[in-house]
Amino acid sequence: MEVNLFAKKIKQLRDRQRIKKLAGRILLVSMLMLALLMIALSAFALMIANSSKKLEQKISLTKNKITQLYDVESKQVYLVSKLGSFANLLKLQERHQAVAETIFAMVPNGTTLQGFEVNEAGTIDLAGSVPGWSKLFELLRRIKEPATGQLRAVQAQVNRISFGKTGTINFDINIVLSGASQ
Amino acid sequence: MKKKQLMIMSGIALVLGIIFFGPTLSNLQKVIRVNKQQKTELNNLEKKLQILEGIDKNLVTDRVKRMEAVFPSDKPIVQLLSSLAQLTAKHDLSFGGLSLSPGSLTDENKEKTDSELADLTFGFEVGGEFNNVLKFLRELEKAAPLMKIDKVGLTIKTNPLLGDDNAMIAAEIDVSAFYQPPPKSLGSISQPVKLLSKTEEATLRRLFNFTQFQAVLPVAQTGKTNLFDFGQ
Repeated sequence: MEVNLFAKKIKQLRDRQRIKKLAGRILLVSMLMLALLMIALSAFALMIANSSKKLEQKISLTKNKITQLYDVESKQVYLVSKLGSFANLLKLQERHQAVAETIFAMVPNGTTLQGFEVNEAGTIDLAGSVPGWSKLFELLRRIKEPATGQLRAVQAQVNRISFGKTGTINFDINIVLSGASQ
Repeated sequence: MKKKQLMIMSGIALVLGIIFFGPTLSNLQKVIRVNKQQKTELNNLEKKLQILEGIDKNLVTDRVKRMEAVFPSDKPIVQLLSSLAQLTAKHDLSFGGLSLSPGSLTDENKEKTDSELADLTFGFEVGGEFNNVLKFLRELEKAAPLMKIDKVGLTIKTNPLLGDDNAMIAAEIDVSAFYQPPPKSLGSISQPVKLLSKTEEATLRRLFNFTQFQAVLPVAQTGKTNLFDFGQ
């Protein structure tokens, strides 16, 4: 009969050796994996660096082409910079022309117009003199009922009516025309 | 024991990973970011180049010349006087009483005037037939450089709108002319170029509706002359 006195110890030793072997293998495989990963990452970084280099060349080339078109670009920028103000001025001018035409159409025969001015609120200050009452009434009627195609008076206020030395009637009227505000 | 060893191994792997891969990953991340930025920049530049190549050189040059005549970059004093004189002559009107405040001819308010809309106000008198004055007033705002009538004072004997076309009148007119200095720089090369919308194109086309008068400048002999040149 065979008696194994160190069976337990031998088993423990075998287990330890197996673990050590396993650990060694794991370490080796891990190192290998890490190395492969490192190589892959480096290759990827190289690829991107290469792509960056090509992009840089393309950027430089495109910049050169843009620089050659400097004249066109500066002209376009010039036009764009002025366009906003120019468009606003055109609108303002159109309104002014409409106001001027309406005022000219309102003025009856024999009127002396000292001037008309459109203020910031769009109120037109119309001042002048007429030879008689009939002309003043005609002026007021025209302000109330403007000719077709002219701007309409939204509001009108007679500020002053006075008699001149030669029998003329001086007037000062504030008119607000539709669409005349600035 | 087994567990302890595995823990140690994992720890070693982690430390190795951090030591070796940390800088590599960080560098890779940086390279990727730069690459992405370059792609965006190239994309923007290519778009800009495409826009610039699509712009008609001759048309843009014509428009700039026209814009400079209608809405100049400097105080348009010479052009104004020339336009007014020629416009009044065109309508058989007398022209005078010009009061102009040209201000400084040097850029004393540089910060203020840079690329800002500025105006030049002046007054003058015209005399003649009512219809001609009316035509003059209508054409004044359609003449280059761009002007806006601020105030009109008329002395009307009879109103020709109702029949009498030969009424002589005198008109005192206050006018504003506008100018705007151009932008000083184009900005960075990657800054996009704005394409004009249909409305803006229509506005630009209106530049060509303005009547342009040639500025007439006096021709004076200048510089050194050879006093001993007897025309031999």
